[in-house]
Amino acid sequence: MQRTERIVALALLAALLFNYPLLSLFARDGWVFGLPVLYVYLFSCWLLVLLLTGLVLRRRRHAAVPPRQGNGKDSGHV
Amino acid sequence: MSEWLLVITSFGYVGLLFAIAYSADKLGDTGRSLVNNPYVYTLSIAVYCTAWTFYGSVGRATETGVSFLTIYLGPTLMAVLWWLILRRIIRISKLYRITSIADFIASRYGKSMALGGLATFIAVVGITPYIALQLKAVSDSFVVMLSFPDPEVATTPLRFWDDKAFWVAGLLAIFAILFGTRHIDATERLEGMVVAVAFESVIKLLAFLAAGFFVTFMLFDGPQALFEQAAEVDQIRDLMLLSSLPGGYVNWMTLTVLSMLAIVFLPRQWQVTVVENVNEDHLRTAAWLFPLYLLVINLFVLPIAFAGMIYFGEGTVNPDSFVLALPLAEGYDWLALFIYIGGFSAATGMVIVATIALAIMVSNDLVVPALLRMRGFQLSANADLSRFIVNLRRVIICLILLLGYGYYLLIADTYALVSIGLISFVAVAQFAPPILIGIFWKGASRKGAMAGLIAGFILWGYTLLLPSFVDAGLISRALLEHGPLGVGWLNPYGLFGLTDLDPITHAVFWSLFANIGLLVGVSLFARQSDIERIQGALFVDVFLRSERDTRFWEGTATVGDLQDLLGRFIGQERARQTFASYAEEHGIALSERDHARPELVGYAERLLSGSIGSASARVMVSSIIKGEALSFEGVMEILDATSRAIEYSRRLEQKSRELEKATDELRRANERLKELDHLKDEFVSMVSHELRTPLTSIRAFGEILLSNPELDAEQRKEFLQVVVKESERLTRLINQVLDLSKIESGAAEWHLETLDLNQVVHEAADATRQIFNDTRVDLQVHLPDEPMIIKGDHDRLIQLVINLLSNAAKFTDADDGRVDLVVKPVDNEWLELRVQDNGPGISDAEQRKIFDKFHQVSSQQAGKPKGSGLGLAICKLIMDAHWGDIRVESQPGEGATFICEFPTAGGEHCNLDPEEKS
Repeated sequence: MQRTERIVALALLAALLFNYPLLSLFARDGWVFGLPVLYVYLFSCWLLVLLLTGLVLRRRRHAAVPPRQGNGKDSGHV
Repeated sequence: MSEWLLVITSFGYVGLLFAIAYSADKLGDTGRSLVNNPYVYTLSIAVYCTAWTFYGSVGRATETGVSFLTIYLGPTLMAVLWWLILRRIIRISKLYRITSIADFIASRYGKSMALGGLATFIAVVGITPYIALQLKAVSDSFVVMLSFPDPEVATTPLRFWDDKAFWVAGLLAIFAILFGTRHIDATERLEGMVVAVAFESVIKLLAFLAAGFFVTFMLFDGPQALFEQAAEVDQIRDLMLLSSLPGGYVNWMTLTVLSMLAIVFLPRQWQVTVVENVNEDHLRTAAWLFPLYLLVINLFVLPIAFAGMIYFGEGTVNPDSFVLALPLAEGYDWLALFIYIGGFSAATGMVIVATIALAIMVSNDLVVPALLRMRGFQLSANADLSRFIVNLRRVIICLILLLGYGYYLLIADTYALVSIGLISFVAVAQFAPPILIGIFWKGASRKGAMAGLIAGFILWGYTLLLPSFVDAGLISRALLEHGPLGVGWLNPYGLFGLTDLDPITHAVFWSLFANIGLLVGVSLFARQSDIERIQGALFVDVFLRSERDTRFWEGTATVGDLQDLLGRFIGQERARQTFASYAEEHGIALSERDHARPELVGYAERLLSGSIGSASARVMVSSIIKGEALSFEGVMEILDATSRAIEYSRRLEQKSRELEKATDELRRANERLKELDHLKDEFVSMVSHELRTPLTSIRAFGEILLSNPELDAEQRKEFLQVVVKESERLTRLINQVLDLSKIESGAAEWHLETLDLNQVVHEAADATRQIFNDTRVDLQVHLPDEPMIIKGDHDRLIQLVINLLSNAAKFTDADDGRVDLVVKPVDNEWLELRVQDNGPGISDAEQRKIFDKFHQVSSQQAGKPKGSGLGLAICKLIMDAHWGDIRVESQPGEGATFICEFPTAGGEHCNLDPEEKS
């Protein structure tokens, strides 16, 4: 099941984003848009993870692929 | 602010909750359920955000900066995994009517009463501090509202009847009793409670956002200005980094993992996410919407904390009450009142759900099993036990709230909100190993789970609960400094000399280490009983086999006995109805004296599980069954037989589908044959007809010449020309017919070679130049510069192009006629040859028949027939032989375009598979 694999991958990604050592890269003095960089980092990763979760769990629609026009006729007898 | 206003508002708010819960229950009874909705479901999960979130996070942030976020990042991480873990738990719980965490653990490990009781005990002891936390928060916020900014009054009152926390606890007990114990069957949803909790989630979110907006945008000039000012204070600037985090990244990770487990295993979360779940699909929404809720409610925690520190300076106001103190200090009393209600709703929501969840656990997995153990009770209880159990739950609700209140009086004053909550988190984390390992590993055994839970619980009590009594002054501080009786390696905060970790990480490590280690270790060596193996297989394979009617009982009981048993717990009338509807559903007649079928016994057992827990249900059913429960092998055989039957019917279905398909193909082939036969007849009559016309005219002119020898030379020559022309037409016709039949029968010799379509078109255009000159039709040939390589038969392709060109010349007007011939590539695989004229065009109806043999465009449109009607039919055959396609596009009056598409690979040597193509 592809969905299971996607979920596991996303969980691993999220676990990495929210932990040492990636976290330590942003635990420093600095400002983004006038806000502390760590604060901005945590909330944007948070938003990213929940958006991806929604995307992965979205119910799939069954879209029919339209056949290529004009070449779908029966083949000849040679 | 006046006391009566606060009291009236608080009570009025609870009254509103009553009204909401009541009308939601009423709506649910009439079938218009509000809870079958992913948004209400998500909001009810937000019961996770309690007074801890509302008041405690700010306090925590003033000490350790962003570390308060771990409590919400954990659930976000877990929400990603919900689809894999929680969905499985929900499916199992619904299938086997499991109503609580304790029941889940008991049921998984062989419906063990002891395990269910132990888990219940852990839950009650573990959650009591958490309930106390909420009562403390309500009481504290009340005091702040009442007496701010005068801190002197802010002490706990001496007499409990003066204490608002006590009255709040009482009020909540009434609510929990009214909406939590309507039915005895705990699998029936508590819709009123869920809707009320969802409503509370909206209120607390709005209230906290209001506080955040006020502080950030009214007290300060937006978040940037606030943070800028905060950065000027050294002490606050440190909080923006992780340097102020006690225990560093290890603590960060521990708290994240702890809250990941809490979001699933806290009894109140289990109640709303698992037991109250209506539809598994709601998880799809909740898995992203719930983290979004958490994100939004946490946005302003740091700004409020910093604002409070800047505004009040150090030590004057308890940081846990900044949310209220800031608007009060600025004189915004009504805003503060709204925020107070938000905090009140956060606290009450948690207390209500937690108490109900615990009450169901205590009655189903602790008290009822204990009562059933007492021999006398079982015998004497011929009466209706359902009333008794409902009342039992009501008493338990009151006791649990009293317990929480007691802990609050004893301990709570010395602790910050968050620290109390974390003690509970570690306690419920003990449920994670037996459940998570149990639903993925069949080998996890009852003895292992038992050993793990006991060890984990004891270590939790020793390393976290006991020290909390020290801090409250009940035990000498020496315990934490020198260890019990001076034995240093037994120090609760530094067990076996492990002193590097902060108390929470220390407790989490030892308790989970012992818990998981014993669960796995003992399971690897202990033998599982039959019922354990059965339950293990059922839980782990829940998505493989989900047939409900699994038989576990080999012995016999009469239908009457079974119904009586059920009636004692769920009421005789309901039991009768249940059996009647079962009989109807399965199309069988149930008579009291009959032996109950194993499926019915299993069904009754599951119904009982919902009311009294799985372990008790099993005991009760076994008490009326004569004979033994099935062995593991027996059950597995039945399960496998069922899956084999399912597999077999699946294969049968597939076979019949294949058969259907074959029949369909045969029918189509037959139809095609009939059609061909018909076409052949038509062909013969068409050919005869076409041959007769020129023959007739030749014969007529021949006879005239024969019988009139005196005709003058001029006329004789004219007649002979007619004869010659008609003979040519005849020859041409016969040639075409021969051609056609040769191609059709496949006897035509094809000389396939790699050639340039441009070259072919060039030759064909030259050959027809004369016709175009004669009719003064303008022929324009547009060829691309690069060669158009295809595989094909040179002569046949020339014939094709000539046919198309002469056709076009025939149907365009002399003088202003124009024919365009274009060759161009379509994509990598296909080339296109278009012949476009500006003749009268071809109607839709004609377009469909134009490639049929002997079809001639009707005379109304194009004057009298101008051809044999075989040219396009031959074109079609040539295109077919080249694996290509020919079609016509036309609007009547605007000319016609014949389009031939060639595969570049071309001819019979190309790689295209004819099956794939069609």
